[in-house]
Amino acid sequence: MKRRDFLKIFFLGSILSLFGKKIKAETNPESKPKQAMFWKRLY
Amino acid sequence: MSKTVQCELCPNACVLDINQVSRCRTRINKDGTLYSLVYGKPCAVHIDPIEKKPFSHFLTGTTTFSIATAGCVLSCKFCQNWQISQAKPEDTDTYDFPPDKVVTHAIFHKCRSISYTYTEPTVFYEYMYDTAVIARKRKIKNTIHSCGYINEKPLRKLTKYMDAANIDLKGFSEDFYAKMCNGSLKPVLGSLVLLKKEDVWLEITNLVIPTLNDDMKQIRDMCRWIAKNLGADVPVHFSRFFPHYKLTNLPPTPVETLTEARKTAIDAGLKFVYIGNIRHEAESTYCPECKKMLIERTGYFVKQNNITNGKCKFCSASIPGIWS
Repeated sequence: MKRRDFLKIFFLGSILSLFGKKIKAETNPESKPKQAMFWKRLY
Repeated sequence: MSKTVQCELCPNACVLDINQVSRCRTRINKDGTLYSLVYGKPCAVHIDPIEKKPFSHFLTGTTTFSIATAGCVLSCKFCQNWQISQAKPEDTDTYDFPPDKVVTHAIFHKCRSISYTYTEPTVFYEYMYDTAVIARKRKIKNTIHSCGYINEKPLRKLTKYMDAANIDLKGFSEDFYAKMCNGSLKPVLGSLVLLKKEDVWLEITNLVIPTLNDDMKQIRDMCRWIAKNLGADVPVHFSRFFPHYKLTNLPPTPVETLTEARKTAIDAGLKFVYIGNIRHEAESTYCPECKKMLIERTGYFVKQNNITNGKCKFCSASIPGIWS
């Protein structure tokens, strides 16, 4: 592939990506840290 | 204000500074709050026959949805599941299995119960408790196979949702627990008494290890304690040891030792004594009155069941257990 062909695809891809649907990464609520039961803070 | 915390789940009573992880490897102090590292992340999910737990007087012939996470409160040199029990959670492959998904899968696969097993369920207490609450609501029974090394308060809370427990009584001396398990016997005996008192169906497993806990006098003392404090109806399983983890120098338990242990237990007054981890006639259940075979087992499979409505089909003697 020539440099010019690469740049053509690269810029075309960049422009097309602007029209794509943006998806936000979701956080699974269950994978959030779960607070433990049965513990105490030492003073 | 100090951000050091103390875990009150098991007798280890770990004191943890910030970012320190508990001895069981599953709880971490994050900025002065204790978190579980394994909630909803089991490393083992299987459907097993209930006989594998082992339970011989609980929903015989059914399957149980079994889960475990990494970690353990003890560090037994003879652990038969050490690859996961002695591992850190981050070193195991885990599934994304929140409590409601566990129950849904159990129902989908027609399992009558969910078992918290393989490693030590105490280390995933929050996950087990939340799952057990949902399971109870959806009429699925809960069982635990545990070493019983847990504090009274959390165990009492758990018993409200636990239908059956199989507790490993690994030996019958403080010396054995200290040297071989890095724990102590007293809390385990306390857990056994509490489970019985709270009306959780109870069975006991004793892994018989050559030269370490196969002294018949000690086995007799253990069985007498069980008969006196828990009742002669509590089923006891003598399980065959195989060389694993740090005890690869020892041979598997001879069949004669297991047979002698069973005889010792029956002589001490126990009515239901089983031999496990080996094909043996003592895998089956016999009526303590007419001595006839009630449940014939080969391995984990039930070949015939002669118990009807909790009674012996031949002499109508009542057989303790949860049968349906």
